Amino acid sequence: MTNQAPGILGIYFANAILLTVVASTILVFWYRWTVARSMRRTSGLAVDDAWADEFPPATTGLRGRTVIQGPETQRAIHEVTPLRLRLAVIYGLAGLAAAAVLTILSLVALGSEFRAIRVFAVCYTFCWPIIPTLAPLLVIPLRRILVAFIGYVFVGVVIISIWSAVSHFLLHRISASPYENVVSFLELLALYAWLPFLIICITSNRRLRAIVPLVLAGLLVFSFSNLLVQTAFIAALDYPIVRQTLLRFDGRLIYALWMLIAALPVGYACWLGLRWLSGRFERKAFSDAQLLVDAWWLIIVFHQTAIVSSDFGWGGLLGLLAFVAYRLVVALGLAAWSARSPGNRRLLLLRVFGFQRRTERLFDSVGQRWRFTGSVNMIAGADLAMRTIYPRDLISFVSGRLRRSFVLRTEDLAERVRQLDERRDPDGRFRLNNVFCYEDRWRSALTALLGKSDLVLMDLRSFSASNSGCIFELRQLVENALLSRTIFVVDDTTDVRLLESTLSDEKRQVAQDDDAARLRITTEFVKSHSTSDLNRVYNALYELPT
Amino acid sequence: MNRLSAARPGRGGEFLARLLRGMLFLAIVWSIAGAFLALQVGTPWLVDNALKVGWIPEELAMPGGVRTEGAAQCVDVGAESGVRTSGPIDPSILHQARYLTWRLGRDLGFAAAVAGTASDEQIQSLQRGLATLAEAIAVPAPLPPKIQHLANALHEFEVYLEQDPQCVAARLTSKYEPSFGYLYKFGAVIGHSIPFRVNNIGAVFVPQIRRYGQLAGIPEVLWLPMTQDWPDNPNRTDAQQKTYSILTRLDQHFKEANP
Repeated sequence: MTNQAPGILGIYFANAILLTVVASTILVFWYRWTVARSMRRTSGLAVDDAWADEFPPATTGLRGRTVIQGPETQRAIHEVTPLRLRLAVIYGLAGLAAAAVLTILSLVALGSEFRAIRVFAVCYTFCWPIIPTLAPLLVIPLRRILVAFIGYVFVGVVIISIWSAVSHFLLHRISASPYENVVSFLELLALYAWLPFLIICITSNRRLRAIVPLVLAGLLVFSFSNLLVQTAFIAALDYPIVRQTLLRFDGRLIYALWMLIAALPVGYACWLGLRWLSGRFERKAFSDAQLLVDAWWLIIVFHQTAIVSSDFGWGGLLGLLAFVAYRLVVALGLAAWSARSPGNRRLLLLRVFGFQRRTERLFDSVGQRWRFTGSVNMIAGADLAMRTIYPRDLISFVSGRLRRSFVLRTEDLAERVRQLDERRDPDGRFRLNNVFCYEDRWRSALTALLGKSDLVLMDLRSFSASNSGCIFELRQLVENALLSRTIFVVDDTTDVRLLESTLSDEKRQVAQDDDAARLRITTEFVKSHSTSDLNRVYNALYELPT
Repeated sequence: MNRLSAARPGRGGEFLARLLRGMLFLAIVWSIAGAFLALQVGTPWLVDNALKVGWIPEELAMPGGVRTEGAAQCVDVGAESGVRTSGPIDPSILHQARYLTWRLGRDLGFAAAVAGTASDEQIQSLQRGLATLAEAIAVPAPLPPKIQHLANALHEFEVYLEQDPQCVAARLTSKYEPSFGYLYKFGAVIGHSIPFRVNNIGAVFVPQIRRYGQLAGIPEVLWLPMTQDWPDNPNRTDAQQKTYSILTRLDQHFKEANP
C-alpha cells in the first residue's frame, strides 16, 4: 500500500496522545486519593521512643535575629543566574540542532532550493519549541512564556520582512516579496506548530506534567505495538486455515480477543520500559523537568515526522533523527558545561493541610524555584501529591506497592532519611524529597527532617487551634532552634495570637530565660493569588542564615 | 477518620498481595488495550456515520495521494486515444457505451469481490465477460486487483480504482465524456458491494458511491439505498431481494436513460 505512512503514524500517535491526557488525569487523581487514604491510616505498630533517640534535636540554644533583606538575595540571584543561563543556552542549541535536521528534511521533501532566506525562515519556524520548553526548565510561568512566544513570532516577522525587502529592493530579486514571505512564514508556523503547541499547553498543566512524560512513553510503546499486532492479525488472515478457523466466530470479537491477549506482553514491555526510565531517573541521568521537555520534543519531532512521511513514506521516520540530534546536544552540553555553584541549602516545607490550590501555588512559586539553590524536603500530603510524583512513586503506585514507600518502622525512617537526595541533577537543580507517613508516624518523620534541613518555610494561612499538627511542628521548630531560619507565611486567616503564644510558651520552657525567650520571628503576609507576595517570600528565604 | 492498620502482611498475605498486584496489572493493561480498541473501532464508526449524513466531504475519506499518482500515470492517454477530435459522438453509440461502461465497472467490482471465494472457472468466466465488454467500448480489459491482505481488501480496491493501473477510467473519460470515468468507478464500487449487501453485512464504499454517483450524474434515489444500513434489518433473503432490486433499477436506468 502506498502512502499510508502519514495516516498510520498520525493516527497511532494521536491515539497515544489522546489516551495520555485521559490516563494521566485519571492516574493523578487516583494517586492523590490513594496518598490521602494511606495518610489517614495508622502503622499498626506501637510508637516507641527509638524515634526520639534516633533523631535528637539539632541544638538546644536559641538565637533570635533581625531580618535585613537585600544583599543576600542579590548574591543568591548571582549564584542561580549562571545555572539558568547554562540551561537556556544548552537547550537553545539543542533545539537549533533538531530544527536544522527538520529543515533539511522538509526542504528536501518540498523539493525546494536551499536559498539562505528560505533556510532561515524554515529553521526559525522549527525553532519555536525552544520557547515553551524553557518554561519548566527555568520555572517560568506560562503567561510569560506566551508573551515570549508572541515576541518570538514578531522577531521572525521583522527579520524576514527586512531580509526580503533588502533582496527585493536592493538586490532586485523579484521573487523575494516581503509580504508573501512573511505570510508564508506565518502559514508554515501555524501548520507545524498548532497541534504540538496545543498538546504542550494541555500537558503543561502543573497537575499533569509530573506524570505525562512517563505515561506518554508507555502509551507510545503500547500504541505502536498495537500497530504491529494489528498488522500481524491482517497478515494471518491471508492463510486460509487461519481465516476459516477464526471467522467461524464473530470477526470483531476475535480481533478484540487477539488485541487483549497481545496486550499482555506489550504491557509487560511497557512496564519494563517504565522501570528502565525510572531507574535512569534514580541514577540522576536526568531531572523531572528534563524528562518533561524530552517528552515534548518527542511529540514535536514525531508530528513533523508524520508530515514529511507524506513525501518520504516510511522514510519519513528519518525525522526522528531530529530528536537524536537534540538529545545528543543536551547530553554533550551538560557534560561540557558543568554546574559550578555553592552547596545545597536544604529547605523544609511545612503547611496547614487541606488547601490544595493555595499550597500548590506557594510550592510552584517558591518551592520549585528554590530547587536551583537547594533540595526541598516535605512530608507527603494529598495537597501536593499531584505536583510531586516522581517516576519511582508512579511505578510503586501502579504496581500496588505505594504502601512500601510509607515509613513504618524506625529503621524505615532512618533509611528514608539516609536516602534523601541532596545532589544536583544534570540540569543543576536539586530534587524534592517527599516522605510518606502514616498518621501515627509523621511526627517522628518531622523530627528527622528538621535535622536534615537548613531552612524552613511554614505556610500558616488558616492556622487555628484545631491544627494540633501545626502546633506540634511549631514546638519542634523551637526545640530544634530553627526559628531564626524559618519564614512563616501568614494572612488574615492566621491566628497570629495563637502562633505567638505557642512559640513564646515553648521558648520559655526551653530557654528558662526571659531574655533568650524574647520572640523574634520572620513572617510574610501573603494573599493567596499575589505573585509579588510569593516573590517576596522567595527572596526572604535567601536572607535567612544557614 | 479511617484508622486502618498498615502493618506488613505475613506469608499468606504476601501471596494475596501478589495476586492482587497481578490482577491490577491485568486491569491496567486491559483498560489501556480496551481504550485503544475503542478508539480503533469508535473513530471509523464516527467517521462512517458522519460521512453517511454528509457532515464530512467524501473527498476526505478517499485515498487522494494515489489519485494524483494515477492521473500522472495516465496523462498521455488522451493523446493516444484521440477519438474525441473527430467531433461529437453519435448519441445512440454514447447511450450504448454508457450502459456497457456501467456493466464493465459492475462486473469488475463483483469479480474483485469474489476473487477469494470463487472457483478458477468462475473467475475465468468473469474475466472473459470483462474482456468482451471492454472490447465493445474499445478500452483495455481491466484486470481485477491482486489483493495483498484479505482483511484490507476494501481499502486495497479503493486504492486500485484511484490508481487506475490500466488507465481504463482515463481512456473512457478521454474517449467519451468525463462522466464515463466516474461511471466506470461507480459501477466497480457497486459491483464490489453486492456480496456485502446480499449477506446483509452493511454499507461499504459509502464515500465512493456518493462521490462517483454524483460526478457520473446518476440520480441520487438510485444509489442512496446502497449507502445506507438497512434499518428494518432484513434477513438474508430480504437483503438479496433488496440488493437485486437496486441493481435492476440501476440497470434499467442505464438501458433507458439518454446520455
